[in-house]
Amino acid sequence: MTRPLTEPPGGVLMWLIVALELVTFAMVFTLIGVLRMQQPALFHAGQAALSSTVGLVFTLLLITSGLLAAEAVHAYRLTRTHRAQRFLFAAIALGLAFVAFKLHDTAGHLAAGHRLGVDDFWDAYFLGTGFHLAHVLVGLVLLSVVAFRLHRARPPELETVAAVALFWHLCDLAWFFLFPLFFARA
Amino acid sequence: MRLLTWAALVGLAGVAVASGRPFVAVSLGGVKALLVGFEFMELRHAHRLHLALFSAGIVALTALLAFLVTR
Repeated sequence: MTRPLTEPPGGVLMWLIVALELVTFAMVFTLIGVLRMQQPALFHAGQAALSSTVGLVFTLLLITSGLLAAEAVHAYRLTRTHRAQRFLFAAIALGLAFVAFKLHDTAGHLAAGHRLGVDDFWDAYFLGTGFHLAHVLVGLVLLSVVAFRLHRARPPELETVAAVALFWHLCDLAWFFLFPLFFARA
Repeated sequence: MRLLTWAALVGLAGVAVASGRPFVAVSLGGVKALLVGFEFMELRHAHRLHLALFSAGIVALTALLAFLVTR
């Protein structure tokens, strides 16, 4: 069934936020792309310190967490609240795994002497992935609030759960474009 | 469909890493973004205009980044 123009899935407000965030991410990606185009040797050298396998693990954690969030919305729509809550907690667990792995990976880079201010590659890497990580943290807070409220006397509306999942999927979308800019190299 | 979409996303992520080519990885990133939009963000049930705007935005961003990584 097609929804009316005034009722996008997840609600108008969250779609406005998602659209604004996507535009902001697009500007960040463009800036990184321009830096990469201007300084190919620097980016090639910087990318040698990054593992595409690590990038793949980040991707798998995010897309699996995204699947679980989508399943939670579907279960909640069918009024299967316990199942929806389990899916949300599983999505949060994978999101936390992403954060832990990201912090561990970042600590490794810092220990190797790669930090902000060293060169444009590492500035772009830390600011780009840091901006993404900030969104993941906000998404985790939103998912947690909704997950813990599912069994309250006044549970959240379906649209609220869908809106929070929508924000979580934004983190997937952003990562799909960050990944090739830093981890893909010939 | 959601599980199939997830399997496709995993497959495309693997191909992007295996190819190692930025142009391919950016293009596949665009495909993955469209898949997430259609299925996980439920845009395939949305009004056609929402679907069209989202798709146009993703295609434009993918084209721009593909251009930049191939310069």
